Amino acid sequence: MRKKTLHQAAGLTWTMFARDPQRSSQVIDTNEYLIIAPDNVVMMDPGGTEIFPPVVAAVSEVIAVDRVKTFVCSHQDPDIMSSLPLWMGLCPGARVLMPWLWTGFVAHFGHEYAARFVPVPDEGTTIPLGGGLKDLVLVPAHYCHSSGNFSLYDPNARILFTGDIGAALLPEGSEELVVADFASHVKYMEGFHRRWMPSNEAKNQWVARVRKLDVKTLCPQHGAVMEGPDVARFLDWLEGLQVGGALEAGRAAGASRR
Amino acid sequence: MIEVYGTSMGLTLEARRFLKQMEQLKRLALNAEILAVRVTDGGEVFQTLAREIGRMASHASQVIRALHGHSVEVAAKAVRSAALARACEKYQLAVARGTTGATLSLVEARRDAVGSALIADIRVIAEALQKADTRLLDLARLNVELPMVATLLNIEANRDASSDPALTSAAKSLVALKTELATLLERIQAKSHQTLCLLAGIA
Ligand SMILES: [Fe+2]
Ligand SMILES: [Fe+2]
Repeated sequence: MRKKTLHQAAGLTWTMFARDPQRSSQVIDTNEYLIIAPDNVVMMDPGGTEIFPPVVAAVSEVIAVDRVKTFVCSHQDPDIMSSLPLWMGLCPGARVLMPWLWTGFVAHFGHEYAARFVPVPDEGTTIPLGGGLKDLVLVPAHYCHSSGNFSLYDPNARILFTGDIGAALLPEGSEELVVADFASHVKYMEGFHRRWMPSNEAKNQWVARVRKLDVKTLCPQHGAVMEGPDVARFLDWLEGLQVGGALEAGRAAGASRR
Repeated sequence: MIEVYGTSMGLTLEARRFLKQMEQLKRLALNAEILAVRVTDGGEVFQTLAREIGRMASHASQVIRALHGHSVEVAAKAVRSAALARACEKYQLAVARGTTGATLSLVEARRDAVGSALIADIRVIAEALQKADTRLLDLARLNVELPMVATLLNIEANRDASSDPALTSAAKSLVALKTELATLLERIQAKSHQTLCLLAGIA
């Protein structure tokens, strides 16, 4: 599994894990992120059961996994969190932050750990890092994919973890961890956003909210990281995109019946 | 393990069906017994046979109920074992994929803990199936005795033309039911045997 340090300064490290070479082609490729801070170690979207072995192995090269104090699940999809029971078995002290909407659903993957779930209210919450660092912020992204969905903003590193927003389905064997050419990257994102993103209104609210933040890096859960000027390019592109693709197909079918 | 779950659940379904049929058999036997009191000649033999069927039906119900209990236990453990086996496999894969440092001993300890729970579950399943196996012998005996007594009863009911027609029809229903029961019993035995074989393959 590949590993990339995205930020390292003042006791704060962001590491990205991606592209397991042995991953089954049946399983969607995902990115996992580890934030190491003085008083907290946070794992963002720990991933699916199928990807658990290489992720543990890769994380073990960076830190002893039982030091992870906080798992954050941006939403409820299996590629986000079906590995949770396995992680919970390794990290007895860890808690899991997730949208309040999904706690009862996620418990179906192993209810014995549900006592450690921390339901995050719709308006979001903050996660302290210690060492004089600013808190991480869970930014609402509801209906921008899942109906209970968060992005995670780090004002220290100016990194925004966007979950399935900004996700790209890269061609098999693609090694690119950071987008090199935004214009040619768009084609890998377009289909995903049109179909997996349901609401234009929610999407535009999210774009407006993110524009108010100082973001230097966008980290999606699938595909490649976007940096520097690509952040604004992405927001502009997303704002102009019509999403909710299956509704269009439904409308077209309705019109042809008439 | 999922197959063990499947056959165990299949067995509980068959057992439930069987218990329902047994209730009917007991009712019919009781009915025949009451009718036999009215018969002057040979009534006692008929009564005894009907009572015997009732007794066997009760015994069969007990056996099947116990078998049902074992199957439910096996099915529950089989599902849990499948999940434990999967977790064990993932932890082992994490070791194989090069987990290092302090995490390695953590993962190995967790793998072993889950593995022990898995072995304990499989042991419970094996014991439950062993018990079920003894019950099956009981069932096999009943499967031979019950049709025999039902046939005797039928002969008794038809022995002389002056027989109470209600009695003859009661005997007929008992004989009809006995064929159905034999099929059900065979199915239960087959399912139980299948579960045992599956488990023997795993252990
Ligand atoms: Fe998702
Ligand atoms: Fe996803």
